Amino acid sequence: MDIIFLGTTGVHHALVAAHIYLENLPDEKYYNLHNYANLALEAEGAPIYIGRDKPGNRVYSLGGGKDLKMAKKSIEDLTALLGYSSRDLLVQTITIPGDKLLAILCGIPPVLGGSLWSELIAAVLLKSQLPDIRQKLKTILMQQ
Amino acid sequence: MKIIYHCYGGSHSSVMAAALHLGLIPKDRIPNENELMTIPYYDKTTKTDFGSIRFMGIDDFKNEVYVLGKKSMGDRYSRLLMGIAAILGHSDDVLVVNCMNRVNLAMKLGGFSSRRMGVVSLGRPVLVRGSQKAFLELVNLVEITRLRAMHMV
Repeated sequence: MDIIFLGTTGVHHALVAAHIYLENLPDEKYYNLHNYANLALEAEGAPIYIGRDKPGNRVYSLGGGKDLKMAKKSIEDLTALLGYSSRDLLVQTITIPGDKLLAILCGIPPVLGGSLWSELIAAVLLKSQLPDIRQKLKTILMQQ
Repeated sequence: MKIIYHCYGGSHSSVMAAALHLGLIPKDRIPNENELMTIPYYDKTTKTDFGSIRFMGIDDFKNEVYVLGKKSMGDRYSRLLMGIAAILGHSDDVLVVNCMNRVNLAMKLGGFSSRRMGVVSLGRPVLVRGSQKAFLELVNLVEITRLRAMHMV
């Protein structure tokens, strides 16, 4: 099974959520995570492989842009077209307040300080939302 | 193979490309308004269709052809879907084609007025003119896509 943590960007809250799920983030130092705020990777738009969980499922983070409902629908439609279901590819949406702003800031060119702005806003948002993300993941794990 | 044409609303350039691919409209002359309106989904979608991959038909090489509206996500959406196909082990079975680089200003304005604002009487004539102007560009895109589907490009 493959698990995708889908956020407006794939290199901020979704990436942090995937690492929390894999128990790779024991402290609050999310900014040290591999590929955190990597805007070049975010611009590619493809799923980012994070690792495997204890049962052996492959875990990814993915940036779906401002309209997460639309991105999730397309992923689920494509999954079904290829003959699979949510038992093969599970899409877990991760939202935090202000996450649409992160997606917009990722579009600002580096010469205009795009990475600086997105890192700054992400730091403010994630610092306050980290306990909520952890709580959401606990709920997800309990549902599984 | 599954071929997915996508544009902003999945209502105009992508359905025209899919119709051309499937031979629903002739490639050798510019279609009139009636011919354009007979294309399934042409100027008929709603905002609930965003993100839905809709089946258009099967081409002469047994490829399944689909259309998709993905707002302003651009080529990024192609990479997103191809990434999902790769995760599932089907990267060679899916071809995702962005039609937005073949869309002109008249199509954008006409499509916006007709679909987004709901002013069909004002938007559709502009849209049809734009579609006719973009027609040969879309024929070119479809021919390239058909060659790509046959692994010739």
